[in-house]
Amino acid sequence: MSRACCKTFAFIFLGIIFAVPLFQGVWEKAVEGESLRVLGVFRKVPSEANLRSFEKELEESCKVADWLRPAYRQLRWLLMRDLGDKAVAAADGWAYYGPNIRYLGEGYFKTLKSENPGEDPAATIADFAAQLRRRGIVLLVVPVPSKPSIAPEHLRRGLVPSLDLSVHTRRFMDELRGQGVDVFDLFTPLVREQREHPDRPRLYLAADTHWTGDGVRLAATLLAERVRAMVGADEILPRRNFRRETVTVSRRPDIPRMSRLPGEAGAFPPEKTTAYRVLDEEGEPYADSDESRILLLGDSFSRIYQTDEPEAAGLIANLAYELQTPLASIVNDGGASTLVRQELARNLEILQDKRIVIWAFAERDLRFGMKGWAKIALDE
Amino acid sequence: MVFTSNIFIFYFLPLVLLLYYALPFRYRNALLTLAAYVFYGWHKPWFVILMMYSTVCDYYAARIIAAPGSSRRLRKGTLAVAVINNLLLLGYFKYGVFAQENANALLHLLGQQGFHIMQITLPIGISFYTFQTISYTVDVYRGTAPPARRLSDFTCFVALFPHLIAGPIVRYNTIADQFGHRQHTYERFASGVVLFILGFGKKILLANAMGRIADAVFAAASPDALTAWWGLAAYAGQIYFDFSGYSDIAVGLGRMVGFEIPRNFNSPYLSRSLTEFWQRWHMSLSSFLRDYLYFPLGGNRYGARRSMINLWLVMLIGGLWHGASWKFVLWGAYHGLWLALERGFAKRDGGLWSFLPRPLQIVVTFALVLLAWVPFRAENWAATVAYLRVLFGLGAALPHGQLVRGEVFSLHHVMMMGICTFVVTRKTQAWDLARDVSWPKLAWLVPLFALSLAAMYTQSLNPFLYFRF
Repeated sequence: MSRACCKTFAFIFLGIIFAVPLFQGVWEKAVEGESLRVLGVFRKVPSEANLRSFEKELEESCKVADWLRPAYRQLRWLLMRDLGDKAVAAADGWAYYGPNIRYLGEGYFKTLKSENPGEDPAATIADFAAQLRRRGIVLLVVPVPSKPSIAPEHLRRGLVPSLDLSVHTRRFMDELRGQGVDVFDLFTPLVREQREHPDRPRLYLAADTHWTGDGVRLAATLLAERVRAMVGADEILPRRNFRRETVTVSRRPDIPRMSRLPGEAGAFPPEKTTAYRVLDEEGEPYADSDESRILLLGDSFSRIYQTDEPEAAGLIANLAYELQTPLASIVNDGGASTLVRQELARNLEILQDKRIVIWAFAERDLRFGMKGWAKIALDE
Repeated sequence: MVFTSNIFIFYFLPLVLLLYYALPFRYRNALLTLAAYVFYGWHKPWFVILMMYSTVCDYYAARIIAAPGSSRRLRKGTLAVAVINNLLLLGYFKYGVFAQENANALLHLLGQQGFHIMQITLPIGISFYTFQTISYTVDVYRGTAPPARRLSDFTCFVALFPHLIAGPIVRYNTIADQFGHRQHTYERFASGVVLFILGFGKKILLANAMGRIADAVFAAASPDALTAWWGLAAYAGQIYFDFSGYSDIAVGLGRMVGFEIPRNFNSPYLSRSLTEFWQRWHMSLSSFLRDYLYFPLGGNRYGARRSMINLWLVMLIGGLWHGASWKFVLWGAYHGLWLALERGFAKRDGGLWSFLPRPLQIVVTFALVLLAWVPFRAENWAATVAYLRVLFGLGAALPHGQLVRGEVFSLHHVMMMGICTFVVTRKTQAWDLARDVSWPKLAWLVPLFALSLAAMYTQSLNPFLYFRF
């Protein structure tokens, strides 16, 4: 064993482990002009919670980590086509969101409960439906199929769109129906469309978690039929004369972004999709109206193309077009399980004159919903 | 604190090394003890008191045992009290909930109403440090280890942070001399760095990658047989790289501060029998169980049949040591059964086993080890049975299980499995690589360290699997 080699090796190692905190200290003091974060450990009682938060803050503020992370992600992608534990890169430039696969592949059907302990989505939804019923409003629950439920074929050769993939959600829907809640099944028509008409435009984006403009349009058409059947055409007010135009949208996919893949545009370029933009009589983009008899609670599946490019072309606008009436809406990305109802509880006046509340949420939210499935009281 | 964390590598370790080499030798043990308490208390500060209690009790018990003029009765009584004290600690914190759950189940069986189960938090590393303090007191009683000269030495031994939380289980007599005198050379330090980097890489790059596959498959509701085998192989890789990585880091850190901690792994998946496997896997536990359980039970002194029963019993207890659950008992019983069978039949000269070609022996042994990982990894009995059924094609592979197959057979996972297989099947392991530090090694170890650090920053905190034991 060469002594010079050992000495060099020891000093390189020590150089690395000393250089990082020294550099961090200099950066914090000289560039950020702040006091040293590492001394924060002495500023609080060394309780378990304080130590965890100190450790987390130290790691999150590490400048070297900021530089290393993107380089490592890029390398991992270039060498192994790996998007990390949040996403799965599939064939033909497709990518799937990890929690969507986990939701479908894991044993959710055994419990049908949220990941939040003690929270039962079915009980919460039934409670919400009962509260609305007391106000003379009907609830229509719309679990939105995730991409692998409808378009799984790129994940693995041999996989075909099948209702068997969404067995958990459909069981859950049956349970809700058993409790007297109206549930709209988007799975059956979307799977049929995907299977029987592969020549038609795709329903889901390749490297994004959401649907295409055509997926939105189809969902809106189907949903409108159900709404008309539930409330009757004469109660769909106020009447408007919406028209629709076709726009081509270039959308930056969200899966590589969530995986924090640097320069994702190279690996996953923006995807072009046709969106269906809704305009009013004056040619202005569709806008919600609180006077509507219909309130839609939703998440990013309702927000996409609606408030982001090209605007007024999302599920809300297209449903409004199909019904020829504006809607009222409360939308929260990823927060359709609880956050939208909390916002509704804070703005109860929006329920005035409503006949129907459509509650659309991504199916995976049944298990992974942000903030769980807490019961929310709609008290005045 | 976790070795594979920003705070350990860039704050705790440099500070400890700086102070360690700045202080005269006589203060270094005290510094290491203090550092170990900070390291341990970082998880749950109050558990430090528990470790101190165990340390002080055993230190004074050993003093009483070794005191000149102590009667045999006093020595024996003190030993019994010390061992019971440690077992009570372990029993309460590690097996308390398990005992309550079983009592409740029994009450239900008898048609009685159960009681509310009191939750008890498991102090990390308790299985390791109580075993070390027990071995110390027993060794002093047997006269095979000298009593610690000072409480500070013994405290340093018990709490030595490199191996405190997940081993290797170090016996006092193997490092007693090192508390009074340690060699600090560049060669030793550099070999410690090699082990540290390799262990770190094993955990961050390999174990965590295998863990992603294993987690996905074991959580799947209905995987097909191929996916289940793939997931099981991934778990075998995960637990090996995770635990042996931790051991490499522990030995490496020990060398950086002059300690020589014994080896814990030696290419276990290349074993040709279960007996050999246990001579290569978690070697410090195997030798502990042999010396403090198998031999006191009579070892092989009372004939072949008794020896087989002893082996089985030892592995049963070894299984329970891993965790308070029947699935670990099953795991131990399974290993014990094979060890007993090998002892009784297969190892006889001219037995069928000896005629099998060496690669086939390795493959069969690996397959047997693999099957035992099912109860070890599965959440409970029901999951164990379901998984075993799937492995042998008896489970119903449903379409949504195919999604998991698509996920775990991605290019990345296949490549990582290939790399892990290559590393596992190499005869030269981290321990061997650390024997000689050379320029070519330096040329790939430094980039490996940088790569592992970069990977660490992209992963969520992922503690070592053996922390829970």
